[in-house]
Amino acid sequence: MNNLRIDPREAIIKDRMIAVKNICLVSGFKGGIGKSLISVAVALGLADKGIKVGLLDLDITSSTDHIILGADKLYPKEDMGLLPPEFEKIKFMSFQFFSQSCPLGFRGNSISNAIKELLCVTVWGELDFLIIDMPPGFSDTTMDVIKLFDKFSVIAVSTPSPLSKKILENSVKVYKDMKIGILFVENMAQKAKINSIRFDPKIDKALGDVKKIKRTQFYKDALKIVSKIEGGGV
Amino acid sequence: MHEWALAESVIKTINEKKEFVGKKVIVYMGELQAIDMEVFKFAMEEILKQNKKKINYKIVVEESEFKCNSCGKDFSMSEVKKKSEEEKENIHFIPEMVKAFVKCPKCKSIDFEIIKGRGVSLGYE
Repeated sequence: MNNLRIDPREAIIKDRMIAVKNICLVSGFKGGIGKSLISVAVALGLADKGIKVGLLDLDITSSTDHIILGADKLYPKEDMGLLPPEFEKIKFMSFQFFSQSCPLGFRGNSISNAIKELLCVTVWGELDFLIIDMPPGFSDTTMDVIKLFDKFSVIAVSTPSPLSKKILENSVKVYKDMKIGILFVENMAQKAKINSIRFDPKIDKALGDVKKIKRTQFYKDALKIVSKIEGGGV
Repeated sequence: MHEWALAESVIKTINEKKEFVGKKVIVYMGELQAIDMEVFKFAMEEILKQNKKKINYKIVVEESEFKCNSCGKDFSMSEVKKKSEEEKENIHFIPEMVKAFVKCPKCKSIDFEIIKGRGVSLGYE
């Protein structure tokens, strides 16, 4: 007998992603810049085009994708793993299904363990795109995703705020060094520009109602991002 | 049946890691994950049959141990309030969810570590 302990979960995670053609992280490193809204809008836009899409909320301690979608009563089914529930033609997985919206006080090791566990047991099946809503900051979740996935692209979100732009500029250097495809998107823009989503004060009132979200200027602008990534622009 | 997914990861790891060649493998099962042992063993045997492989293994169940980061108390599941079936199910799928439903029995902090008995890990004799 010896003290060696090997974690078996990492061996299977890449296999679970084998039928996922594109993994796209929605990242931005600052909080409150609209990563979750953009993740959901992009997933909805892809699904509307008949593209097979999954949405994974990896913002473990502050999941909000379910609130944006109005999908807080979902729960995965078990069949040789966990099957993400389908909502608006999106295969959706979130830690909120398991935390029941209780506060989660997670330190680094718990974050890594929870992510590995979910990725080990989630059976996505065939997907054209898996959109991953990332938490703010360049910390445990980002490191784990880099370690566990062979290939992914990044939608890098910022706002017109110089603080948001500066922190993004510093953080994307890592992705650039790894030769990872990056699409820069400015959210809350003052006016229409390439790869920008205009500030839309009506979006908050549409939260929880997909039909209302799809009628907003925010969503219409986000569809330009959808066309871009669908056409391989990341 | 998410035991099947865990059994797949166990067999793949044993087949890939040279450390296990010619050894009797120990599959440690954390109390916290509350794996259905019969389902897990069945999944192991079925996957091994499909792969036409044999593995010499035994299962060891480990009790859970926690340590509070706030007051330093060591505690176990037997010292905390009984969990509902729904809460147990959530912890079964993602053991870290224990932090959503358990507090330190001494200081009520949610900031504690899972020291032992979390989920599935592998060793050998």
